[in-house]
Amino acid sequence: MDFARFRTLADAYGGDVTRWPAADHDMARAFAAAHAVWAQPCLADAAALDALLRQSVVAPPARALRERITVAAPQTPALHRAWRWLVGAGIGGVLTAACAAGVFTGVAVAPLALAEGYANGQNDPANDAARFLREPIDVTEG
Amino acid sequence: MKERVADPDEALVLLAGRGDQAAVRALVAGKLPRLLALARRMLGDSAEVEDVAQEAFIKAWRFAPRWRPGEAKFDTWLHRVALNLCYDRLRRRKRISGEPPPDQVDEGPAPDRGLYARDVGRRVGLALAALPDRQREAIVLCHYQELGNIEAADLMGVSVEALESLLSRGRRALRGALADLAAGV
Repeated sequence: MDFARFRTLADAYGGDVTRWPAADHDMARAFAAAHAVWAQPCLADAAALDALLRQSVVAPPARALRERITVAAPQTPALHRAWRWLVGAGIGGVLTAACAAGVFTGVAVAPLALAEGYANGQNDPANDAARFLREPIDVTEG
Repeated sequence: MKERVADPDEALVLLAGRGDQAAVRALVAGKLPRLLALARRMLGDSAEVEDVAQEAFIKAWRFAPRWRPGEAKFDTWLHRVALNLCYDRLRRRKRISGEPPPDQVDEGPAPDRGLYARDVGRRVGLALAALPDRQREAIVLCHYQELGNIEAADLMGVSVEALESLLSRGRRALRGALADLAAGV
């Protein structure tokens, strides 16, 4: 370590020797102790700029950004299985609901239709029997 | 034979690659503020900053399942990805504006810029933004991201001596640009 190297390191890395390359720490400290009158102003000058640079702070990440990034991450197989199960359950649910709706329609609407048919005589089993008896049996064939 | 790189993030990256959501959250909590700060200081106050951070993480998520422990530090790799994304945008800006990149910005103290003195942080941000890209990158990596000199030089693809030269010139330019503030700190 000499004056030029000490100055180069302070100019590059700032006034805090602990932030200089690790290999230079011990020599730099020894040099600063041995040449304090020259070295301390050199470090203080660099430290003044360090202090200014520290005034530049960046706001923490927005929650929405954190969430967008987290959601884009790989999913565990378990989560995939859960997702597939949910999708399957969803499709099953739709089919079940469709069947239930069909059964409901059958149960709720058919009697009404039958009842309507009964009312005008179209669906009355008794009428069918009577029609069967009224119509002549064709015996010429066979 | 290449030496195995010790990486404090190795276990988290491997877990995240397998979809462990706690590891994902830990990596986001630990790395996102650093990436955002890197992009902010490289690009200035721009909507592109969040895009860079998000894109870098999406690349990391794609890469995590194939991460090979011991080859590189995840933090360094993530910095490289983010820096590449920043440089893509800086090049695009220069293409659009048609301006050549500034090769030296050392304006020195100027009394008429005293109106900015109320907001030192903003002044520092402006002075950083005015630096040539490589000087700014060197200062951002070493001073703000607190990377070691060998790691920073490796990231920038330069020798340690070249890194020190970029740092010295960058700091000299900043000292000149912020000279009117130095006495008040």
